[in-house]
Amino acid sequence: MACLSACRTPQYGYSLLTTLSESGISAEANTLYPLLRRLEKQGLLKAEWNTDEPRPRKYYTLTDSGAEIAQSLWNEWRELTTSLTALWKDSPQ
Amino acid sequence: MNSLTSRYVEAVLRHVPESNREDIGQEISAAIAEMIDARLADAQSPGTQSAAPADVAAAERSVLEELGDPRQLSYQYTQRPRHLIGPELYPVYIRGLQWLLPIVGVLALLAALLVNGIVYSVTDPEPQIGALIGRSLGAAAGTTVLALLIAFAAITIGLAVFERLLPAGGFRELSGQDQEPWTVEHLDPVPAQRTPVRVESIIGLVLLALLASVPALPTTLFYIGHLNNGETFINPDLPMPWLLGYWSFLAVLAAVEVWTLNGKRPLTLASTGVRIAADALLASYLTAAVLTQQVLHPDLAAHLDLPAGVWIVLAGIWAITLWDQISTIRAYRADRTLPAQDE
Repeated sequence: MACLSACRTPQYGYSLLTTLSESGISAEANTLYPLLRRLEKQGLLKAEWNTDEPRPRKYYTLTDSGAEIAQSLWNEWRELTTSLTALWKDSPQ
Repeated sequence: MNSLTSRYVEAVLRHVPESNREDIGQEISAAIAEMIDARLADAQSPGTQSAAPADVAAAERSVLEELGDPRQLSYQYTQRPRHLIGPELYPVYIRGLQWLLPIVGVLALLAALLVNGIVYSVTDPEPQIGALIGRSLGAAAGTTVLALLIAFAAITIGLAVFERLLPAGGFRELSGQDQEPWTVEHLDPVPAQRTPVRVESIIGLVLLALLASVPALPTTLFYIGHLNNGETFINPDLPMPWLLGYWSFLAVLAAVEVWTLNGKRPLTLASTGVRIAADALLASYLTAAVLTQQVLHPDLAAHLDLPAGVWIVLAGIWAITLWDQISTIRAYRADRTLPAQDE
């Protein structure tokens, strides 16, 4: 979900790693790169090599179905957060 | 690209499908270069134009070690199953083994007994019933073990291949588990009788029948017929009352097993008590017989002239009795923990 959220704007592997890290989400490079590839295979991300820069970079962006999934995951996450918050408040301390 | 990075990329690509190698190789190389640049930028003092070669080498080493074992990274890319039989097929595997192995075992045993029996009867000029049984059983045991191993290997390899050919969740789709949700109608009825105790009783009856036949067993059954001209293991001159006593004890034990089989509650305190008492009395009776009578056939006893033989036999009798007593008490205790069945 974090990857899909971050890839709403085009990201290459290392920039995504940095974005996640700056948001407080720690991700290992050796997990992130294969994950991006799997998301691409599932049609949730679209990958494109950019060779205009001095170093070629593979940019990942959300596809339409990726955007739908990201929205649905986001909704689920908010519902879960609301439920857990309510549960935490109602529970005796 | 320098040597360590190319060696690392090469090590990763060795385990990924050939069709993806070029793309994955470029991606990993670019990622490593980005990570090295970021490390150097973090470490570089402001105003410095380029990093020293030693710093570049150290940054490269650090990045590669952070990425970790290339084999593990390649597994992440391939996502191949790293187990033989996964959780989706495991219940099928266990059920397959439970059904297949007994069927294969029985069929192989029967076929091997039949074939070996026929071959022995046809080829031996003077076939003897003891040798026929002994030889057929010996050969059939080997054949059965081999057949069981082959069946085990076949179902394991078959399902392992099947798992690798099916896409994720493919088995659920094939088996229709997705279409037909589970309902309470899928529950099996509670068995009317608790089978383990009853199965033990049936096995017990078979063993008692075997024990009862011991006085009549010929030595040819175990290829030692030449020692006493194929007569029985037991002294034919042993007074008949001793044999009748022996069979009486076995009859009492058999009655307890039948009682267990037919009872509402398989193991009652009474049936367990009678079994323990009959077991102990039988062992005492056999001890008395071994110490006071010539139980073994005299010709066999002459060949096995072992002074400690009697004590070895007695130790064996009491060890088996003790083991039987312990297992009886444990079965009784285990049965107490279950609720009684309505019939």
